[in-house]
Amino acid sequence: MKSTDSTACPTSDDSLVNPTVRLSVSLFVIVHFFFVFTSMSANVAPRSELQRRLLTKFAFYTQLLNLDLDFAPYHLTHASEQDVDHRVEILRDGDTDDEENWIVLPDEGVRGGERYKRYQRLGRVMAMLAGDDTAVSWLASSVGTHFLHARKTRPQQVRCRRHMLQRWTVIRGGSAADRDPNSAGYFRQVYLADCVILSDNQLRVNKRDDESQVAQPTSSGQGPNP
Amino acid sequence: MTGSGGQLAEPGENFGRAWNRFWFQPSDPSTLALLRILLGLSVLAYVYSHTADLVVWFAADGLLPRETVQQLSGASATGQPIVFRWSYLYLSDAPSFLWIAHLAGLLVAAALTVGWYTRISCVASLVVVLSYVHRAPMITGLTEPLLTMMLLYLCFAPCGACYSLDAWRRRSLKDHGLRATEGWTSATVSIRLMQVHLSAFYLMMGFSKLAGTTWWSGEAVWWLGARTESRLLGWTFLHDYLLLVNLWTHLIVLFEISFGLLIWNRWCRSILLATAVVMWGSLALLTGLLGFCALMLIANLCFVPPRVIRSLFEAGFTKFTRPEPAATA
Repeated sequence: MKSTDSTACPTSDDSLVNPTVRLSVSLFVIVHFFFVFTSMSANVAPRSELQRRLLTKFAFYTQLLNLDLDFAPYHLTHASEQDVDHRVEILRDGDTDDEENWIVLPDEGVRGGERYKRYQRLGRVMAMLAGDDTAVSWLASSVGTHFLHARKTRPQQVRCRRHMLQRWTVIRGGSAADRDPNSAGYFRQVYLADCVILSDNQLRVNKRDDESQVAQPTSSGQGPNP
Repeated sequence: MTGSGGQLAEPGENFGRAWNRFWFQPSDPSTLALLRILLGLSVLAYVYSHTADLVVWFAADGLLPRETVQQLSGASATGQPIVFRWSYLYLSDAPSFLWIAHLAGLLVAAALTVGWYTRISCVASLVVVLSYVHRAPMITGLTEPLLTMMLLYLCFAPCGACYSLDAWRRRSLKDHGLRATEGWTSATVSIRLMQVHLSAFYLMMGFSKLAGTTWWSGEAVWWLGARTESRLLGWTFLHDYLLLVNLWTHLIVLFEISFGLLIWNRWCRSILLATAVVMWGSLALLTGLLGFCALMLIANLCFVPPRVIRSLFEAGFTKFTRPEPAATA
């Protein structure tokens, strides 16, 4: 472990801090990096039982200091269905087929900015939770309640859609609709719920999972693994 | 860590000496001072990015009220029953409290940037960022772990020793707070923690890409550029340059793994740091991850020697303080 850079001042070993402090700091460094490397390795691939237990046992340290990356997508993309843009949409009223009737989140912020990305992540979380009816209903209820109380809009439905990706082959030889990345065929609905406003002005969501009630993708030009 | 003994003890002693030199040899805190300024600005930008939506996200009738976050955290996919995510933003969801806390967070970040009560403002900045992260962990992204990691290590450092209001207050006006500082052991410990963690971070990013097929097949850049709601530029023209897509994809992985391994070599370091500017700049345009890419560039500065930072600062300072030459008739 030879120090190869020039960040250090030229001093003799005698000028180093006393051995007790060195030993304490060295122990801290070793223990700290044990947790850092464990949490990082657990983010590369599915966690082993040992990794899961270690990270659970020492969550007071790794979670508190945000060292546990918790499956953050540092791979940027594996072209899976999670690695696309997500949006949460709220139906104000009227016809569900009319795009104008849907409020789309993100509706605020500059693309590339953190504010805009937070809305996208909300959609991603809703899509990831779509298989868990209880958890997704908590999230959808919060979204609906926010629109009902804070934005004074009576939401009829809440849905989450994925904006699927274009293959390059489609751009070369596809139809006009396939070449347009914003055509309806590129949107895949992963969650849809009706909003019910109760007498005490509280909101409840009822998931609609009937296949006939959920729009299906029509395009053949979408990315892999959708 | 310097034992004595027979022949077998020699490698141990050499390792001990190298370990001590690596972690404990006093060093100039100029790099850490620059990192403090840039990380202070990053914290300021991060906290400020919550301003417009503070009540929208965190109020009782917001998109993510306290109860919902706690329910979702308790029912996470990992099945962890206990969650250690403390945040002062859980104390109340009243808009007035949120605004006061938010304003305090902005002031703390500003204090860190200018180096005012640096030790306190650095720890406070970490608490501020962690509070936003823990209040709504489901809407955090790639930026936050990097930001909290850098701030954590900055807390151990004498990052207010120069280029700060603290240094300016301590010294006479004649010295301008820019006098070369003595070596600090805590500066070395702090910068080494950053360097080791960052190189591990690069390796994690590189290897997590290799866990999928798209980075092996060379298509990943295409799929990143195909996200029309995220990218900053239209990359559709790349369908005519698939070899370029393949090359770019492989270079990203090669760069990340190389950085993690070769940054410790003095001959490779400057090349890797220069390449990082191009790599993260292009990735920002491709992915729209502006904050993350900018923060990666800032974090890379921990590998820049302090003498380079000091010479740049002093050159800039001399330029601004040099007296105007007398006008000639």
